[in-house]
Amino acid sequence: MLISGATAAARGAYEAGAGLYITYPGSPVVETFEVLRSKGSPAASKCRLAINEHVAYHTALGYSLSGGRSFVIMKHVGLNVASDPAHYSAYTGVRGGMVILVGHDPGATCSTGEFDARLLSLHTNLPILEPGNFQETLDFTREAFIMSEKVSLPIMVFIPSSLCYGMGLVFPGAVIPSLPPSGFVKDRGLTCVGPMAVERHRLLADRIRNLAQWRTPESSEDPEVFHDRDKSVPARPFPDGRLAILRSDASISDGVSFPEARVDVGNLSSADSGEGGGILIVSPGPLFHMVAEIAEGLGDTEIRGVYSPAMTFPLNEPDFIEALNSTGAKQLLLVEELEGLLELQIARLSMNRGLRFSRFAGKEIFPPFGSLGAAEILSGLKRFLGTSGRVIEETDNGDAAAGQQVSESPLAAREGTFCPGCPHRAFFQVLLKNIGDGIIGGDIGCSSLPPHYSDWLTCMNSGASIASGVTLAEGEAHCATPLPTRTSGRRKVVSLIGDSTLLHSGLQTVAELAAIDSEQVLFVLDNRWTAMTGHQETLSTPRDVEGRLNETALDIRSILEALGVRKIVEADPFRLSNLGRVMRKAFDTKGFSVVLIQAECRLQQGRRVRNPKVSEKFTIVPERCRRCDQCYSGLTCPAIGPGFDEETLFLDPELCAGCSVCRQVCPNGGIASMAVCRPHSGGEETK
Amino acid sequence: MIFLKSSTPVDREGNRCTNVILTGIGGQGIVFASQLLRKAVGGRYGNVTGFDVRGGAQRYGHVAAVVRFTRGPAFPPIQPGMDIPPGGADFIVSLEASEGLRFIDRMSRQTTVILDRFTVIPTNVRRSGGFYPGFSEAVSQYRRRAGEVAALDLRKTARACSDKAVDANLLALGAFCAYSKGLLDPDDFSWAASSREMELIKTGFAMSGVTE
Repeated sequence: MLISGATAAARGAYEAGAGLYITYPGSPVVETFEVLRSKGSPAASKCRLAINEHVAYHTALGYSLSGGRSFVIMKHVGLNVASDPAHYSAYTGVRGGMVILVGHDPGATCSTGEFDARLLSLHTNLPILEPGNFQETLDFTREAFIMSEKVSLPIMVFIPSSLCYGMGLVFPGAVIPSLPPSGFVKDRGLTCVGPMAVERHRLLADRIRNLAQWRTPESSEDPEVFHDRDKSVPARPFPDGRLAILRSDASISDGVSFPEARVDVGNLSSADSGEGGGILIVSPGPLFHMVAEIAEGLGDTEIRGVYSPAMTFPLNEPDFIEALNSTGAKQLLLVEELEGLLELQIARLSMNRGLRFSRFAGKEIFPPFGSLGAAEILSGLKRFLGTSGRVIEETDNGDAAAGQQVSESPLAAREGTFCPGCPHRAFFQVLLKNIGDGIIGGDIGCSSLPPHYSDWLTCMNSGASIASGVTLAEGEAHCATPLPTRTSGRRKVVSLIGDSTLLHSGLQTVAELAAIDSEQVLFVLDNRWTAMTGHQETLSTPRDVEGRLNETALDIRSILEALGVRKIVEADPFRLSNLGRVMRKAFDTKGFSVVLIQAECRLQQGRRVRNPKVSEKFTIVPERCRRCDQCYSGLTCPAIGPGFDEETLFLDPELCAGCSVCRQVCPNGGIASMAVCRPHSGGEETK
Repeated sequence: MIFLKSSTPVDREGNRCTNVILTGIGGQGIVFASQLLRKAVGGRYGNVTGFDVRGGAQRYGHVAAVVRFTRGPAFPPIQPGMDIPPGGADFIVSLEASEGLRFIDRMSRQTTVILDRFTVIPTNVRRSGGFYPGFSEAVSQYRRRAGEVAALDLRKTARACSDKAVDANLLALGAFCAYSKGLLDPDDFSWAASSREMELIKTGFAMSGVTE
């Protein structure tokens, strides 16, 4: 089957017979969950959307401790949210296999940040598997459940956005039927407090050491923890790594054997330093194939091979040593995206074992930020080789010399923006007009799309909570300013939060802000969905995409009132004048107040309201348009663009969502409504 | 440990990996078109890899799909990486005239660029008034790098054919077939595309005779 990496991971968990699939949606692994819960999926009934990653992780752990196999899906920053449970789960261990699929995002192509969440394993001690292609994504995810049960630890499978969103050929395996959990077993070992926590920590350290030093046993005397359940077969607990042998005269048919620099775990110092020597490149995950392809193209015979461990934490020492032995390498180059997780581990191993290389490089060549594409890898390899390698391929790059990297793209970055008809566009239009020199605390979600609108934009729930500190400082700064030099009143501080983020992590903040009567206005931008990640429902989504009423949906206003917010006002974002009045009044109100902006995401509304009988559309009236560009440059609605003659503007009726905001913004009456009638064919909203 | 024997990234028939970039902006159906393309390629050749940049999908940001495939029965032991090496693009299909320029370092004289005449100035450039190459400038830059440049009226034709501009993505797939010198045929899509989609792919194939 031809599937994406995200879907391959879903298939792997399904083949392993997981009984619980749980997530809080986050790109790039949203698709993994959506595939599992899609219509007709046999796993659909076992899928759960959690309120946040912390709860998702704990729920999965509880299921696992009760004997079931659980699969929890989150993005790299989601793992930050779940880090507390992740730490303790390493202490408690698991019973049923528990696998955490983490989608990470070097280059921040679909995220606010690109933190290397793998480094959390240096702290949590949770093992990491990094598949290198689509087939391995399926295989490693499936195998991770078995590994989890063998080592009694949750296992993390990391896949980058490139692999999630790519597509490749995958051969599925047999499906293990999902068995019901055997039930929770009481165990004092689950109490991780004081001395008991220290004891659990000791056991955890033993497990990780065993994994790091595990080697194919010559007898069945190896640590019991890694035996199969029948206690008879000492089983390798983690998937095999790969070693690409690149030296042209190498033959693997007779076994790999480079005579020089033979090293053993117990005698590592024999791989002593010296000048030059073969090069072993270590590169995990999908980079492996890219690095091998480019290294091969360079044709430098010093590069003996490329090694990619399947388990990147803890690094299995015997496997790494075998890779060194097999290639006879004396130089080591680590090609890793983001931080040097392997570099750290190999450096430590080298120090502990007295292993010395004639050259050891990683992050000094490949930066700890951004993604590594083919161009960056080629550039880094050439730098390591002192540009001695020949060019990967003889190409004629037009103006550029053959093989020379040509100039960077002349294009400006293209920011994402709001869709036509988005309530956030209307909201910001009014906010920016009324905020003056005020301060806007932004938050994660669709409202963050044009990032320049907010004065900061970091993590979930960053808006109101950072604003809480800013209001304190603003108050002190204002009071500290000598009266004669005060030119204006205290700056207004506002914060934003979406409905999904409010439920994810904002509720405690709101409770505190209400209690301390923080000097800020919080705008709750409720578009009824987790829209940014593809419209997953939240606990407050009133109707699903089919139009079915959710009778248990939470009412956000009631929640705010229950949290102690005393000043709440609601506003329709598409009535610009009225929204402006509401805002100005809120800005004049002392203390903490909330403006609840409720309007459903137009994309999702459009999916539910199929084939509407009549929808209002707008058009530019050329005779009245003065090209003031308030709609084009200010509102930046994608439906409005230059006309064919470049002198006039054109409002694309296909894109126009009929929100009327452009008409309200135009000072010249240059935008007018036109009714677009469509044939009546049962086009009423689904009830 | 799994040992992989050295080999160049070619298939068993000795063909070099074929590298295609499909790009445009969010809302143009790049993700959908790339999935169809991968299925067509996978159905015919079996071996396909690559990745998408989807962060701007639906929201008018940059979107791209890298599709790499070999024409043999199986990938070599060392598979092609997910990204295309510098100068390695065989085809760049740009549904927005200028977006293909983001891959200028992947172009060479072996590259064929197929672009729509349609341009969309980014909203950040709208506000700032900065430079963004229009159609003519984009074509000029492609010509300096690429071997063949084909500018087509995909969006306009889509509107005429189906009243839906987004169908330009299907026309582009047909155009790609026409310029692929037999690598791919519209019929390769038949198992993955609906009859309506097939009609548009074939229309794109038929309209692709204009080379600038």
